[in-house]
Amino acid sequence: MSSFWNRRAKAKKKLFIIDKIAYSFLYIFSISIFYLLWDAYIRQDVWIIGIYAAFYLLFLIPFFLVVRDIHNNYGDFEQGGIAEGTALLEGIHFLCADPMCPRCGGWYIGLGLSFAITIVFKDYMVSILRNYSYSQYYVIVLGVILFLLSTPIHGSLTFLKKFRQKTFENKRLKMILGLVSGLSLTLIVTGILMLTQ
Amino acid sequence: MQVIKVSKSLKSQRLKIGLIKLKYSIMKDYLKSWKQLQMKATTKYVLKGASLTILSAAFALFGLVVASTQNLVAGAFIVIGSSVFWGYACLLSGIVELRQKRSSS
Repeated sequence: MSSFWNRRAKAKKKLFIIDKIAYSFLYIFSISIFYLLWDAYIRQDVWIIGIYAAFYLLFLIPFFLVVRDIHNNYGDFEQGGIAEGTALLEGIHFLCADPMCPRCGGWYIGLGLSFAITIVFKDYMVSILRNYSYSQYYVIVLGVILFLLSTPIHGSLTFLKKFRQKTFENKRLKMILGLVSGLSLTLIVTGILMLTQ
Repeated sequence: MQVIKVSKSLKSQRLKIGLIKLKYSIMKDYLKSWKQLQMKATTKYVLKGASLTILSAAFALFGLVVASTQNLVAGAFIVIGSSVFWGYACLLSGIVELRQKRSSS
């Protein structure tokens, strides 16, 4: 088991591609958070600075736990002499963006779709919901329920929970469920926007 | 008088040290009991995967809110950054499968 603190010494010997990818994600995230912090500092919003700092800490702690976990698993596989395991961790499945991938599901495509919808139709959706006088809490609760129903079936949890049946191995069904879970995020975001506006 | 004072202070010091030792021993027992309470490996992995997916969804939500209220590019970057946890959840399923194969064979 390689410990976390002498990770650098060991990383010099063998630089994972997976490590680099994870750290690049961290850099992207921290760039945007620092920009937002600067923006909030200029506008002198103390509360918003605190919220961003809390989110950054919330990202950092699990991130380092994930990196430590990857290294521990790699060390285990290396000691046990499992070539498949080391190949899995040295590969780039971490960046798998295949919507039909049985393991990752259609999360990324659902997320992209929901991002596009929230950017383009944000005001339209809020005004429609206001016109029909739907409460924002209904929208948030409906989104959370849809997310909780659809996510455990299309993602990695199917593999972990071992309820792999024929219906759950269907790739198209998984992609549709991924789309549903992505769109549920849109619902939650419109609810939050209705709260703030 | 001085001798009595010294002995009193010594006694109190010993008492303090003993109390501290007792506290540490209680803490150690507590930690040991936590360690002995090992969960089943599968439930542990399922909990890990569930927390990872929820974390990634939470950061994606944060990114979406930022993109629609504050800044589009920063929000998009946060959404991209949130996929670290989803990616690791996918990897975790592969790792668990390999481990189960190894333990069964």
